[in-house]
Amino acid sequence: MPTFMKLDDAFRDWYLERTGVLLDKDLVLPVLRALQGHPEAARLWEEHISAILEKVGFKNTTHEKNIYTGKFCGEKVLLVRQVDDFALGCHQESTAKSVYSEIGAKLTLHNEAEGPFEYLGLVNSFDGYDVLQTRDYIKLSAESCIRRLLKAHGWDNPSPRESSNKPKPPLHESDVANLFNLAAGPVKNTPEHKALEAEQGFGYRSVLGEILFAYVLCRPDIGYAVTTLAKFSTAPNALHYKSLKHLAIYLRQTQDWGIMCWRTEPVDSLPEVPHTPMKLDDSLPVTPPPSHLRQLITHVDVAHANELRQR
Amino acid sequence: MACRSRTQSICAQSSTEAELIAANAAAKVTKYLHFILHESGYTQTEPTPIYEDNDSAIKIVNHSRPTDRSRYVEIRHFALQHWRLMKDIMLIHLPGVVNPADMLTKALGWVLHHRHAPYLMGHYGNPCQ
Repeated sequence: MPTFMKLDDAFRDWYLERTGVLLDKDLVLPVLRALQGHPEAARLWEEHISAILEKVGFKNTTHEKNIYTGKFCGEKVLLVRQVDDFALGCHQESTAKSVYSEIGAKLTLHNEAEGPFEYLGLVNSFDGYDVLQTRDYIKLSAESCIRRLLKAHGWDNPSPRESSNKPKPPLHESDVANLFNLAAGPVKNTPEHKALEAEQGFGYRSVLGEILFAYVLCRPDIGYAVTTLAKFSTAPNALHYKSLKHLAIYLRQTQDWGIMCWRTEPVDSLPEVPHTPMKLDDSLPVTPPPSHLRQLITHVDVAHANELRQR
Repeated sequence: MACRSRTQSICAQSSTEAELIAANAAAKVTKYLHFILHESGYTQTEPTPIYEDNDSAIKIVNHSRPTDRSRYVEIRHFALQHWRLMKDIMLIHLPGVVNPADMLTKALGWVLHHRHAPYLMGHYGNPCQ
């Protein structure tokens, strides 16, 4: 069945330049060969791959269409699909290979010898995350994203004064009240704003955006700092700049932190990477542990601010 | 894991109402995760504990009746009472200082930050051992 696309201005301009004919906006264009950037490509790919995965034996969840489960080679298999990147969870590598070759065969067109579908081995990065798979745990971290940020701004090496092995907290506690109380900085697109940005040496919003990415990936520990600093992104003052840089330095000191998912049983085929558990502060009461391992736990807290600006 | 830190969309009249709204939002995410886990074959057999540090909010949910001072709260926030009876969730009291959600609502000093962040991110070691 042929697909048609509506003519957009870019195409009409191109056609006018090429042939001197201005096309009517109501015309449609038959698509002979789908290239990248085809307006229907996303939908067609979605339909195509969903049909294939269903045929292979996967079933997706109702709320998240890209999470699939299935049973292959006698074991349960989980699959996550991020458009055209696949991550598969199972016990035996042979199962993964067989599932991949099955999907690959279905993706191969009649005139191709081999489908454009490659088995890349053990996952070490996916969708922006760094994935460390070891005998006892899987760690999802944002290390490469943080390193990229630090490198781009020349913050990748600790200053000689920074000798303590204890990382700083994401925000200076004593600065927090001042973040709200001091006068706002110059608004964007003013000469004063440009001068402050030049003085500080980095763009507030761009650094904030990069840090936000790390937060969204797997760094809930900087959540409060990021959301607080984001409140000032239209008119940051010097203290906001300082706090943001402080946050970036915190990320440097803790760049290998990530979300650890502990295995119920060790997987001996994977390397053993020791993880030193952090020491608990004995002076504080204990947070209750889950009653069993697959239990979900929810924590809720609200900060109430009478001061409107601090909400 | 799912986390969220943001300003509430409505103006709560009391901290109890604010906590109720937050617990409601958390319960919705919990239910969503229940569905995904169930469909992936990891059904939650017990109600999910929601740890709260506001006693009155817990009492409103657990006793299933409004107090004089909570009658003005929007009825939709009382969905928690229903979900509790359906055994989807249960509300449990947890003192503020040990509630790891503190990390996303206030600026903590190093001691508390260093306690909550590793807890949420699983750095305290394998819970299976």
